[in-house]
Amino acid sequence: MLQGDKASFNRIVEVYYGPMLGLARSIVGMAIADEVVQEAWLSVYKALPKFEGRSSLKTWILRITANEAKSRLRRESRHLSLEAISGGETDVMAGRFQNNGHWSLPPSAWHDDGPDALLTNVEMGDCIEHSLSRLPALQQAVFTLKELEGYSFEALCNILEISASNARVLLHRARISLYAKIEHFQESGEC
Amino acid sequence: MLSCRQIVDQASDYLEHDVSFSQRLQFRIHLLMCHHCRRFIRQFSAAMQMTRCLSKTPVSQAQIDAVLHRIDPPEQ
Repeated sequence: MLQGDKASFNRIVEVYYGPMLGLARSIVGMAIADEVVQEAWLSVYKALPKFEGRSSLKTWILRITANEAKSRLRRESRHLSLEAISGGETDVMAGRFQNNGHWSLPPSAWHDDGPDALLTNVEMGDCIEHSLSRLPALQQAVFTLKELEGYSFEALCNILEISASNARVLLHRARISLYAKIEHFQESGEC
Repeated sequence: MLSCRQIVDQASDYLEHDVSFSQRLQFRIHLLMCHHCRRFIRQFSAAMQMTRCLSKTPVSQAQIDAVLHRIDPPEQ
């Protein structure tokens, strides 16, 4: 491929376009994710002769995509709050505990609390996907890479250029937000 | 003794076995005594498994072709 093998490059585009689009969508949103991926591919193509193999090709390509998406987000979102970009400080569980740390509003019993039962609820699945798309950019990016693409913390930190401790905090916040949304759906039947 | 708030804050680390033996023991002791937290951990674990199955972003052949055309435009 480094020698300009067109067929190999075509194959790489086919294999990695999906993960790149998922990552770009998590950072910049669906509307401009495709543009970001297209630009990222041009950057990948130009930089390919300089690829040194210090990380896997996929990690290297996704890091270029993440950088392209973050630059685009900075340009597009001068009017957005830092919170919306950086991962957010919103604590969806705030107000559910007493001062001594015990529950004041404990978790309600769900109608379905097994993963299989939750998965078969199509409306709730749509609701959770929508909620994921509303999370702050970095929370979404960490969640997408870890939970949907199956990356290790080490690899996703390399792609997003964040520390492991930061990644763990962002992932936990994303999970808690989605948990709270499922709980709300279970209680009200509404998204 | 861990508080319920700490159980919630450390739930991901606990479920991913990313805690020390002593932290795990404290966690288990709290769960033995607190049915609210047992319910939370059971439901949080189910939510984690469910959200891992959310669909990935679909890709069309047209999107892939657009990249290939930009990089190597067809001759006129």
